[in-house]
Amino acid sequence: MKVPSGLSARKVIPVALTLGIFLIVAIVASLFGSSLVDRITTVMFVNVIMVLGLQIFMGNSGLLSFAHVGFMGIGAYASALFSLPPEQKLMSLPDLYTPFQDLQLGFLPAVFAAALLAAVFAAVVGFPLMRLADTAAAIASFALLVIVHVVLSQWTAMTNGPRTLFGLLKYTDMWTAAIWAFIVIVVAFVFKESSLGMKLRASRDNVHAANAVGIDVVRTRWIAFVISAFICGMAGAMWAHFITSFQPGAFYMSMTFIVLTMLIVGGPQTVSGTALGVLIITVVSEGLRQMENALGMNDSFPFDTVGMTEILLAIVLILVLAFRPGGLVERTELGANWARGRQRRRNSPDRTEDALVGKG
Amino acid sequence: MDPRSVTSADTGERLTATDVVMDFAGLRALDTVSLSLGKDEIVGLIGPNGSGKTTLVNILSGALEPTAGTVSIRGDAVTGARPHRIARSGLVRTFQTVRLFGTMSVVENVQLGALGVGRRRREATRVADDLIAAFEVEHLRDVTADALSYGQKRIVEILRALATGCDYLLLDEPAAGLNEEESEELLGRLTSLPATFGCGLLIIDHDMNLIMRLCHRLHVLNQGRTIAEGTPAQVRTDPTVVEAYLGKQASAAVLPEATESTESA
Repeated sequence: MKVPSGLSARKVIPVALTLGIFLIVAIVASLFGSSLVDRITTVMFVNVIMVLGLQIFMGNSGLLSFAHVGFMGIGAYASALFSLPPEQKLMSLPDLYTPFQDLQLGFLPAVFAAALLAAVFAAVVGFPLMRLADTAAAIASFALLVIVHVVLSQWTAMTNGPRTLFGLLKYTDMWTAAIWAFIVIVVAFVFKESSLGMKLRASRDNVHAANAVGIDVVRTRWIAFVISAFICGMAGAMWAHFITSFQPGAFYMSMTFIVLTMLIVGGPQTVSGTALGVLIITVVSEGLRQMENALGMNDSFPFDTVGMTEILLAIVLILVLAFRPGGLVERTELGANWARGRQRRRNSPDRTEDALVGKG
Repeated sequence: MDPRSVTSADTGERLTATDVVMDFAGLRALDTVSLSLGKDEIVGLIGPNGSGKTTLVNILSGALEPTAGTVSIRGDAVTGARPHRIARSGLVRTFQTVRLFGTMSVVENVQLGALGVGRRRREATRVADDLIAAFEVEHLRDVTADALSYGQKRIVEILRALATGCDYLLLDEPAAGLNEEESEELLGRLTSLPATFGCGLLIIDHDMNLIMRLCHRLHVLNQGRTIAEGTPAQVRTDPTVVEAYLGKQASAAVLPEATESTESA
C-alpha cells in the first residue's frame, strides 16, 4: 500500500468529526426531553438529509439548482400516497384514482418508493438540463421547480390540490431522522471521494480540462443529479411523516431559501461544512424565531416583528456571500488538516516559491 | 524531399488531419491543412501569431468542428466528435493557459487523467503514483493544484495527460511562462516521451530553441496555410518560413545561416 497513513486519516477524521458533532446534538436533545427541542432537532436532521442531498449535486458540480426542493415535494406527496391507509385515503384524498386507493406500503418501503419516484423524475427531466451551463442551468432548474409546484397544487386527485393533505401517520421520530442523517453524511463523504465524485469536482474546477481527459461531463452530472434527487425525495418523505399534514406551498420559495442558505453558509464544497451549515442556521433561525415571538408579545418595538427571522437570515446569507463566498468551511473538510500538519510545513517552501516565479 | 519519408510507419497507427478548412464568420482561419503524427515522433507546429495553430489543435481535439476536411485516429474518422470521445480514442491535449483541477491535489489531478478515460480507481492510483515518481515530483503529491508555481502546473498538466495513456499528445505552448531553467528541464522530459510512453507529441511553441532541438519534424503555418514541412534543418533554411517570421528585410540580418544556405541552394 503506497497510500501514506496521513492521507487516509485525512479522509476519515472529517467523517468521524461530523458524525460525532451530530451524535452529541442528538443525545443532548434527547436528554432535554422537551417536545419543542425534539421537534426542532428532528426537523434539523431531516434538513441534514435534504441539504446534503442537494450538496451531492450542487457542491460537487458547481451548478446551482432550485429544482431539488421540488424533488423533496415529490418525495413527500408520493410517500403519503404510498403509506396512507385506505380508509384514511377516503377522507384525505376523496377523488383519488381507484388503482391507488388500496395501495399501502410500510413506512420504509413508502419512503424508498417515493425517493425512487423523485429520482426517476429527475433522470427524465435532468438529461436535457445537464447540457446547459451556469446561469441557464440555474434558471432552467427554477422553471422545473415552478412546474412541480403547479402540478402538486393542481392535481387534486393525487395531492388534494392547494389544500392541506392530512392524515399521515407520524413514523419519523428524532432518532429515525438522526440515523438516516448519519447514513446520508457517510454517503455524501463517500460520494465526494468516489471516482464519480472526483470527475464531477473536476468538471466543476475546469470543464474544458475535464473534457480533455475523457470525462463525459453531461453523463457525470446527470448521474449525480439523479442520486441527489433520490436523497432529497427521501428527505421529503421523512419530513412528511413527521409533520403529517402539509400543503404544496411547503415545497416552494421559503423552503428553497432556507435550504440554500444552509448550504451556502456552511460551504457547498465540503460535506462537513454543509452539515455544519444546517446546524448553525437551525440554531440561529430558531433563536431568532423565539425572539421574534417574544418581541411580538410585549410590543417593545413600534412595528410588527413578523418576518424578522427571514430578513435576518437573508442578511446573514448576504454577509457570508460578501465576506466568505465559499462558506464557513470552504475547501478543506473540517479536521482534515489535523492529520497533515507536518506535511503542510514540509511543503511550505514550494508555496513561497510561487510568489517568486509567478504567472508569466 | 518528401517530409513523410522521415518517419517510419506511414499508414495505420497515426493521427491524421486531411484538407482541414475552418471558417469563422467569413474569415478563413485554416485553408486545406493536412497533418499527420505517428506514435513515435515529435512534430512541431509553428507559425507567427494568428497563423491558425491553436485553431488546428482545437479541431484535432474536438473543441471545434471543421468547416471541411477530416480528422482520423488510427484510420477511424473522429471529425467533430465531442472532446471526451476524442480523448478516449487516444488523443489528449494541454492548454495554452494551464487548466488544472484547482481545488484538488496533484495526485488527484493525475489520477483523474486515468479515471477520465475509464480506468478503475486502483489502476488510476497506481498510474498516478508511477508518473509522479518518474517525474520526481513526489514532494508535490498532496499539494493543492492552485498552490503550485506556474512551471509546476505545466508539469502536472502533462502528467495528467500522460495518465490517460494517450497515443497522441498535443501540447499548446508548454514552455510559455517558464524560465530558462524550467524550459530546459521540460525539454529533457519531453524528448523521452515517445520512447517511454509510446506517445507521439504535437507541440506548438514560440521558443524556437526548444522546438528546433526537440522536434523530428516541423509543420509551418502562416495565415491558415501550410507553408513548409520538413526536418528542423530543412525548415530553418526555407526562405518562405524565414520571410513569414521575420519579413524580407530582417531575415538576412538575424538568420545569416538561413540566408547562406538558401543562396547556396
